[in-house]
Amino acid sequence: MKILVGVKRVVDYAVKVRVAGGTVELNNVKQSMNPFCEIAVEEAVRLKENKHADEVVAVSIGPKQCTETLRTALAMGCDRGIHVMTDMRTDYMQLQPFAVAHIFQKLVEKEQSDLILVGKQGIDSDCGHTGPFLAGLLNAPQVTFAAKLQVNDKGLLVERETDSGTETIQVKQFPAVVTCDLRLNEPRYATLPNIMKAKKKPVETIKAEDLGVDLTPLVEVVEVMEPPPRKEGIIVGSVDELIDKLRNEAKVLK
Amino acid sequence: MFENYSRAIDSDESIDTILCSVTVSDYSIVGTTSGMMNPLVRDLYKRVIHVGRDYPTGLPHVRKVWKDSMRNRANCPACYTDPASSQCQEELFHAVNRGRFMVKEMIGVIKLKKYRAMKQRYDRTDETLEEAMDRVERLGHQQQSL
Repeated sequence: MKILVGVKRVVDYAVKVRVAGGTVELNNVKQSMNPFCEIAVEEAVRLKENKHADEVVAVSIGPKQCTETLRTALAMGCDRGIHVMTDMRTDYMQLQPFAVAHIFQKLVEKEQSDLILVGKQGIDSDCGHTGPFLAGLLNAPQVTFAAKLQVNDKGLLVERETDSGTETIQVKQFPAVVTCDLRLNEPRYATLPNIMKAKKKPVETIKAEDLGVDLTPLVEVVEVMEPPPRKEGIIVGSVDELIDKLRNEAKVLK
Repeated sequence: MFENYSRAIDSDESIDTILCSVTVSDYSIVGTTSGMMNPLVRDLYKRVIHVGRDYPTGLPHVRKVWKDSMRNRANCPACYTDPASSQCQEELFHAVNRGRFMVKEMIGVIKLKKYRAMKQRYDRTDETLEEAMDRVERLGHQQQSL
Protein backbone atom coordinates (compact mmCIF):
# COMPACT_ATOMS: atom_id res chain seq x y z
CA MET A 1 0.00 0.00 0.00
CA LYS A 2 1.37 3.42 -0.93
CA ILE A 3 0.54 6.31 1.34
CA LEU A 4 0.49 9.99 0.46
CA VAL A 5 0.59 12.37 3.41
CA GLY A 6 -0.31 16.04 3.17
CA VAL A 7 1.87 18.33 5.27
CA LYS A 8 1.03 22.01 5.67
CA ARG A 9 3.37 24.76 6.79
CA VAL A 10 1.41 27.06 9.09
CA VAL A 11 2.06 29.70 11.70
CA ASP A 12 3.23 27.92 14.84
CA TYR A 13 0.42 27.09 17.26
CA ALA A 14 2.04 28.97 20.15
CA VAL A 15 2.47 32.25 18.25
CA LYS A 16 0.09 35.12 18.93
CA VAL A 17 -1.12 36.06 15.47
CA ARG A 18 -1.23 39.74 14.51
CA VAL A 19 -3.12 41.51 11.76
CA ALA A 20 -1.10 43.84 9.56
CA GLY A 21 -2.04 45.43 6.26
CA GLY A 22 -5.45 43.80 6.14
CA THR A 23 -4.14 40.25 6.47
CA VAL A 24 -2.37 38.07 8.96
CA GLU A 25 1.25 39.07 9.39
CA LEU A 26 3.63 36.35 8.23
CA ASN A 27 6.98 38.18 8.25
CA ASN A 28 9.41 37.04 10.95
CA VAL A 29 6.77 34.79 12.43
CA LYS A 30 7.66 31.28 13.49
CA GLN A 31 6.11 28.73 11.13
CA SER A 32 6.06 24.98 11.55
CA MET A 33 4.13 21.86 10.62
CA ASN A 34 0.39 21.84 11.27
CA PRO A 35 -0.24 19.70 14.41
CA PHE A 36 -2.94 17.67 12.65
CA CYS A 37 -0.54 17.01 9.77
CA GLU A 38 2.02 15.74 12.32
CA ILE A 39 -0.62 13.27 13.51
CA ALA A 40 -1.23 12.19 9.89
CA VAL A 41 2.52 11.68 9.28
CA GLU A 42 2.83 9.68 12.51
CA GLU A 43 -0.05 7.41 11.48
CA ALA A 44 1.46 6.84 8.04
CA VAL A 45 4.85 6.02 9.58
CA ARG A 46 3.24 3.62 12.05
CA LEU A 47 1.46 1.83 9.19
CA LYS A 48 4.82 1.50 7.44
CA GLU A 49 6.49 0.19 10.60
CA ASN A 50 3.74 -2.41 11.01
CA LYS A 51 4.39 -3.51 7.42
CA HIS A 52 0.95 -2.47 6.17
CA ALA A 53 2.43 0.13 3.82
CA ASP A 54 5.43 0.05 1.49
CA GLU A 55 6.10 3.70 0.93
CA VAL A 56 5.15 6.96 2.55
CA VAL A 57 5.38 10.12 0.45
CA ALA A 58 5.01 13.54 2.08
CA VAL A 59 3.64 16.46 0.08
CA SER A 60 3.86 20.12 0.94
CA ILE A 61 2.62 23.15 -0.97
CA GLY A 62 4.13 26.56 -0.50
CA PRO A 63 7.27 28.69 -0.79
CA LYS A 64 10.82 27.35 -0.62
CA GLN A 65 10.75 27.27 3.21
CA CYS A 66 8.34 24.34 2.91
CA THR A 67 11.36 22.10 2.40
CA GLU A 68 12.10 22.54 6.13
CA THR A 69 8.64 21.22 6.95
CA LEU A 70 9.21 18.37 4.52
CA ARG A 71 12.53 17.57 6.22
CA THR A 72 10.68 17.30 9.53
CA ALA A 73 8.21 14.90 7.92
CA LEU A 74 11.09 12.89 6.45
CA ALA A 75 12.79 12.87 9.85
CA MET A 76 9.63 11.39 11.38
CA GLY A 77 9.92 8.49 8.95
CA CYS A 78 8.59 9.30 5.48
CA ASP A 79 10.52 7.95 2.50
CA ARG A 80 10.23 10.72 -0.06
CA GLY A 81 9.08 14.29 -0.22
CA ILE A 82 7.31 16.27 -2.92
CA HIS A 83 7.45 20.05 -2.69
CA VAL A 84 4.90 21.88 -4.81
CA MET A 85 6.41 25.32 -5.17
CA THR A 86 4.19 28.37 -5.17
CA ASP A 87 4.52 31.92 -3.92
CA MET A 88 0.82 32.22 -3.11
CA ARG A 89 -0.22 32.52 0.50
CA THR A 90 -1.37 29.12 1.70
CA ASP A 91 -3.43 30.35 4.66
CA TYR A 92 -6.72 30.72 2.74
CA MET A 93 -5.92 34.26 1.53
CA GLN A 94 -4.78 33.17 -1.94
CA LEU A 95 -4.45 29.41 -2.24
CA GLN A 96 -7.66 27.77 -1.10
CA PRO A 97 -8.67 24.19 -0.34
CA PHE A 98 -10.36 23.60 -3.72
CA ALA A 99 -7.14 24.34 -5.61
CA VAL A 100 -5.12 22.33 -3.06
CA ALA A 101 -7.42 19.36 -3.60
CA HIS A 102 -6.90 19.61 -7.38
CA ILE A 103 -3.11 19.63 -6.85
CA PHE A 104 -3.38 16.59 -4.61
CA GLN A 105 -5.57 14.84 -7.19
CA LYS A 106 -2.86 15.29 -9.84
CA LEU A 107 -0.21 13.98 -7.43
CA VAL A 108 -2.31 10.96 -6.43
CA GLU A 109 -2.75 10.08 -10.10
CA LYS A 110 0.99 10.49 -10.64
CA GLU A 111 2.07 8.51 -7.57
CA GLN A 112 -0.77 5.93 -7.75
CA SER A 113 -1.29 6.19 -4.00
CA ASP A 114 -3.71 3.91 -2.19
CA LEU A 115 -4.26 5.88 0.98
CA ILE A 116 -4.19 9.62 1.46
CA LEU A 117 -3.73 10.82 5.03
CA VAL A 118 -4.27 14.49 5.78
CA GLY A 119 -4.90 16.47 8.92
CA LYS A 120 -8.42 17.33 10.01
CA GLN A 121 -7.90 21.07 9.47
CA GLY A 122 -5.15 23.63 9.20
CA ILE A 123 -4.78 25.75 12.31
CA ASP A 124 -4.45 28.90 10.20
CA SER A 125 -7.47 28.52 7.93
CA ASP A 126 -9.53 26.13 10.12
CA CYS A 127 -11.42 24.98 7.01
CA GLY A 128 -11.28 21.19 7.07
CA HIS A 129 -12.18 21.19 3.35
CA THR A 130 -9.15 19.69 1.59
CA GLY A 131 -9.80 16.06 2.60
CA PRO A 132 -13.48 15.98 1.56
CA PHE A 133 -12.80 17.94 -1.68
CA LEU A 134 -10.06 15.49 -2.60
CA ALA A 135 -12.28 12.49 -1.91
CA GLY A 136 -14.94 14.00 -4.14
CA LEU A 137 -12.50 14.69 -6.98
CA LEU A 138 -11.03 11.17 -6.81
CA ASN A 139 -14.49 9.60 -6.33
CA ALA A 140 -12.91 7.87 -3.34
CA PRO A 141 -14.31 6.87 0.06
CA GLN A 142 -13.43 9.26 2.85
CA VAL A 143 -13.38 9.11 6.63
CA THR A 144 -13.05 12.42 8.41
CA PHE A 145 -12.08 12.99 12.08
CA ALA A 146 -10.46 9.56 12.33
CA ALA A 147 -9.64 8.70 15.93
CA LYS A 148 -8.49 5.13 15.40
CA LEU A 149 -7.17 3.33 12.34
CA GLN A 150 -6.79 -0.41 11.93
CA VAL A 151 -5.92 -2.52 8.93
CA ASN A 152 -7.94 -5.72 8.55
CA ASP A 153 -8.40 -8.23 5.74
CA LYS A 154 -11.32 -6.33 4.21
CA GLY A 155 -9.45 -3.02 4.14
CA LEU A 156 -9.34 -0.26 6.70
CA LEU A 157 -11.42 -0.11 9.89
CA VAL A 158 -11.64 3.49 11.02
CA GLU A 159 -13.33 4.98 14.07
CA ARG A 160 -14.71 8.42 13.54
CA GLU A 161 -15.19 10.86 16.40
CA THR A 162 -17.99 13.38 16.02
CA ASP A 163 -19.89 15.60 18.42
CA SER A 164 -22.70 13.07 18.59
CA GLY A 165 -20.54 10.01 19.21
CA THR A 166 -18.15 7.54 17.61
CA GLU A 167 -18.79 5.82 14.27
CA THR A 168 -16.91 2.76 13.06
CA ILE A 169 -16.48 2.65 9.30
CA GLN A 170 -15.06 -0.13 7.11
CA VAL A 171 -13.24 1.19 4.07
CA LYS A 172 -13.22 -1.48 1.36
CA GLN A 173 -12.18 0.46 -1.71
CA PHE A 174 -8.88 2.20 -2.43
CA PRO A 175 -7.71 4.91 -2.99
CA ALA A 176 -9.28 6.33 0.16
CA VAL A 177 -8.92 9.63 2.00
CA VAL A 178 -8.63 9.71 5.79
CA THR A 179 -8.61 12.94 7.79
CA CYS A 180 -6.84 12.69 11.13
CA ASP A 181 -8.19 14.02 14.40
CA LEU A 182 -6.34 14.84 17.59
CA ARG A 183 -6.70 11.53 19.41
CA LEU A 184 -5.46 9.29 16.61
CA ASN A 185 -1.93 9.04 18.00
CA GLU A 186 0.82 11.01 19.70
CA PRO A 187 3.25 12.23 17.05
CA ARG A 188 6.95 11.67 17.59
CA TYR A 189 9.32 14.60 17.86
CA ALA A 190 11.86 14.86 15.04
CA THR A 191 15.18 14.88 16.91
CA LEU A 192 18.35 16.33 15.45
CA PRO A 193 20.03 13.00 14.49
CA ASN A 194 16.88 12.01 12.55
CA ILE A 195 16.81 15.36 10.77
CA MET A 196 20.45 14.87 9.78
CA LYS A 197 19.62 11.43 8.38
CA ALA A 198 16.60 12.86 6.56
CA LYS A 199 18.83 15.19 4.54
CA LYS A 200 19.79 12.19 2.41
CA LYS A 201 16.18 11.37 1.49
CA PRO A 202 15.01 12.67 -1.91
CA VAL A 203 12.74 15.70 -2.21
CA GLU A 204 11.22 16.45 -5.59
CA THR A 205 10.27 20.05 -6.41
CA ILE A 206 7.39 20.74 -8.81
CA LYS A 207 6.02 24.15 -9.73
CA ALA A 208 2.31 24.47 -8.96
CA GLU A 209 1.66 26.07 -12.36
CA ASP A 210 3.21 23.09 -14.16
CA LEU A 211 0.54 20.74 -12.84
CA GLY A 212 -2.14 22.35 -15.01
CA VAL A 213 -4.41 23.24 -12.11
CA ASP A 214 -6.54 26.36 -11.78
CA LEU A 215 -5.22 28.05 -8.65
CA THR A 216 -7.52 31.07 -8.53
CA PRO A 217 -9.35 31.46 -5.21
CA LEU A 218 -13.09 30.86 -5.21
CA VAL A 219 -13.72 32.86 -2.05
CA GLU A 220 -12.60 36.44 -1.55
CA VAL A 221 -11.47 37.41 1.92
CA VAL A 222 -13.03 40.81 2.52
CA GLU A 223 -11.75 41.67 5.96
CA VAL A 224 -9.40 40.24 8.56
CA MET A 225 -9.58 41.64 12.07
CA GLU A 226 -8.38 40.74 15.53
CA PRO A 227 -10.98 39.74 18.11
CA PRO A 228 -12.04 42.61 20.40
CA PRO A 229 -9.76 42.94 23.41
CA ARG A 230 -11.03 41.74 26.72
CA LYS A 231 -12.50 44.52 28.77
CA GLU A 232 -10.62 45.36 31.95
CA GLY A 233 -12.02 44.17 35.21
CA ILE A 234 -12.54 46.47 38.20
CA ILE A 235 -11.55 45.84 41.79
CA VAL A 236 -14.38 46.26 44.24
CA GLY A 237 -13.90 47.23 47.87
CA SER A 238 -16.38 45.05 49.69
CA VAL A 239 -18.94 42.27 49.23
CA ASP A 240 -21.82 44.80 49.41
CA GLU A 241 -20.27 46.81 46.58
CA LEU A 242 -19.90 43.60 44.54
CA ILE A 243 -23.55 42.66 45.04
CA ASP A 244 -24.59 46.21 44.19
CA LYS A 245 -22.61 46.14 40.93
CA LEU A 246 -23.89 42.68 40.00
CA ARG A 247 -27.48 43.77 40.62
CA ASN A 248 -27.44 47.18 38.98
CA GLU A 249 -24.66 47.32 36.40
CA ALA A 250 -24.20 43.75 35.18
CA LYS A 251 -27.86 42.88 35.84
CA VAL A 252 -27.18 39.23 36.59
CA LEU A 253 -28.88 39.28 39.99
CA LYS A 254 -32.44 40.26 40.70
CA MET B 1 39.35 7.41 16.32
CA PHE B 2 36.51 9.59 15.14
CA GLU B 3 34.23 6.89 13.71
CA ASN B 4 32.95 6.05 17.18
CA TYR B 5 32.26 9.70 17.87
CA SER B 6 30.25 10.03 14.66
CA ARG B 7 28.28 6.89 15.49
CA ALA B 8 27.49 8.26 18.95
CA ILE B 9 26.56 11.63 17.50
CA ASP B 10 24.39 10.34 14.65
CA SER B 11 22.20 8.15 16.80
CA ASP B 12 20.00 8.57 19.83
CA GLU B 13 21.41 5.54 21.66
CA SER B 14 23.14 5.71 24.99
CA ILE B 15 26.82 6.47 24.54
CA ASP B 16 28.00 3.81 26.98
CA THR B 17 26.84 0.95 24.74
CA ILE B 18 28.69 2.33 21.73
CA LEU B 19 31.93 3.37 23.31
CA CYS B 20 32.50 0.75 25.98
CA SER B 21 34.97 -1.14 23.82
CA VAL B 22 37.18 1.79 23.02
CA THR B 23 40.27 2.49 25.08
CA VAL B 24 41.55 5.76 26.43
CA SER B 25 44.43 6.00 23.97
CA ASP B 26 41.95 6.35 21.11
CA TYR B 27 40.88 9.74 22.32
CA SER B 28 42.70 12.97 22.72
CA ILE B 29 40.68 14.91 25.21
CA VAL B 30 42.07 18.36 25.59
CA GLY B 31 41.34 20.26 28.75
CA THR B 32 39.42 23.45 28.97
CA THR B 33 42.54 25.61 28.86
CA SER B 34 43.17 25.12 25.14
CA GLY B 35 39.50 25.85 24.35
CA MET B 36 38.64 22.69 22.40
CA MET B 37 35.29 21.07 23.01
CA ASN B 38 34.60 17.37 23.02
CA PRO B 39 32.50 16.53 19.93
CA LEU B 40 29.92 14.76 22.09
CA VAL B 41 29.42 17.89 24.14
CA ARG B 42 29.09 20.01 21.01
CA ASP B 43 26.54 17.56 19.61
CA LEU B 44 24.59 17.64 22.87
CA TYR B 45 24.47 21.43 22.73
CA LYS B 46 23.23 21.33 19.13
CA ARG B 47 20.44 18.97 20.21
CA VAL B 48 19.53 21.33 23.04
CA ILE B 49 19.30 24.30 20.67
CA HIS B 50 17.17 22.31 18.21
CA VAL B 51 14.72 21.36 20.96
CA GLY B 52 14.93 24.75 22.67
CA ARG B 53 13.37 26.47 19.66
CA ASP B 54 10.06 24.75 20.45
CA TYR B 55 10.39 24.93 24.22
CA PRO B 56 7.67 27.03 25.93
CA THR B 57 10.02 29.31 27.90
CA GLY B 58 11.86 30.29 24.71
CA LEU B 59 15.32 29.76 23.26
CA PRO B 60 17.21 32.52 25.16
CA HIS B 61 16.17 31.07 28.51
CA VAL B 62 17.01 27.50 27.44
CA ARG B 63 20.40 28.59 26.13
CA LYS B 64 21.26 30.45 29.33
CA VAL B 65 20.26 27.60 31.65
CA TRP B 66 22.05 24.93 29.61
CA LYS B 67 25.24 26.92 29.14
CA ASP B 68 25.42 27.57 32.88
CA SER B 69 24.89 23.92 33.73
CA MET B 70 27.24 22.61 31.05
CA ARG B 71 30.00 24.89 32.32
CA ASN B 72 29.41 23.61 35.82
CA ARG B 73 32.66 22.11 37.09
CA ALA B 74 30.82 19.47 39.12
CA ASN B 75 29.75 17.63 35.94
CA CYS B 76 33.25 16.47 35.07
CA PRO B 77 35.84 17.56 37.67
CA ALA B 78 38.46 15.33 36.07
CA CYS B 79 38.38 17.53 32.94
CA TYR B 80 39.96 20.26 34.99
CA THR B 81 42.41 18.12 36.92
CA ASP B 82 43.40 15.23 34.64
CA PRO B 83 41.88 15.53 31.14
CA ALA B 84 43.42 12.45 29.52
CA SER B 85 42.39 9.97 32.20
CA SER B 86 39.80 7.24 31.85
CA GLN B 87 37.95 8.73 34.81
CA CYS B 88 37.47 11.94 32.81
CA GLN B 89 36.09 9.81 29.96
CA GLU B 90 33.59 8.11 32.25
CA GLU B 91 32.49 11.33 33.84
CA LEU B 92 32.03 12.96 30.43
CA PHE B 93 29.96 10.03 29.16
CA HIS B 94 27.80 10.12 32.26
CA ALA B 95 27.31 13.86 31.91
CA VAL B 96 26.43 13.68 28.20
CA ASN B 97 24.04 10.78 28.85
CA ARG B 98 22.32 12.79 31.55
CA GLY B 99 22.14 15.73 29.16
CA ARG B 100 20.51 13.58 26.49
CA PHE B 101 17.99 12.35 29.05
CA MET B 102 17.16 15.97 29.93
CA VAL B 103 16.64 16.71 26.21
CA LYS B 104 14.11 13.85 26.12
CA GLU B 105 12.36 15.37 29.13
CA MET B 106 12.20 18.73 27.32
CA ILE B 107 10.64 16.99 24.32
CA GLY B 108 8.03 15.51 26.70
CA VAL B 109 7.14 18.98 27.98
CA ILE B 110 6.81 20.31 24.43
CA LYS B 111 4.52 17.43 23.39
CA LEU B 112 2.33 17.87 26.47
CA LYS B 113 1.91 21.62 25.96
CA LYS B 114 1.03 21.13 22.30
CA TYR B 115 -1.52 18.41 23.04
CA ARG B 116 -3.17 20.47 25.77
CA ALA B 117 -3.36 23.58 23.56
CA MET B 118 -4.87 21.62 20.65
CA LYS B 119 -7.32 19.86 22.96
CA GLN B 120 -8.46 23.13 24.48
CA ARG B 121 -8.94 24.74 21.08
CA TYR B 122 -10.39 21.94 18.98
CA ASP B 123 -11.78 19.20 21.19
CA ARG B 124 -15.17 19.81 22.69
CA THR B 125 -16.24 16.22 23.35
CA ASP B 126 -15.38 16.45 27.06
CA GLU B 127 -17.09 19.80 27.52
CA THR B 128 -19.79 19.84 30.20
CA LEU B 129 -23.08 21.65 29.76
CA GLU B 130 -21.98 24.47 32.09
CA GLU B 131 -18.76 25.02 30.12
CA ALA B 132 -20.71 25.08 26.85
CA MET B 133 -23.16 27.65 28.21
CA ASP B 134 -20.27 29.81 29.51
CA ARG B 135 -18.63 29.70 26.10
CA VAL B 136 -21.81 30.69 24.28
CA GLU B 137 -22.43 33.50 26.75
CA ARG B 138 -18.89 34.84 26.29
CA LEU B 139 -19.39 34.76 22.53
CA GLY B 140 -22.61 36.68 23.02
CA HIS B 141 -20.81 39.38 25.07
CA GLN B 142 -18.16 39.67 22.32
CA GLN B 143 -20.86 40.10 19.71
CA GLN B 144 -22.51 42.81 21.79
CA SER B 145 -19.27 44.75 22.20
CA LEU B 146 -18.71 44.57 18.43
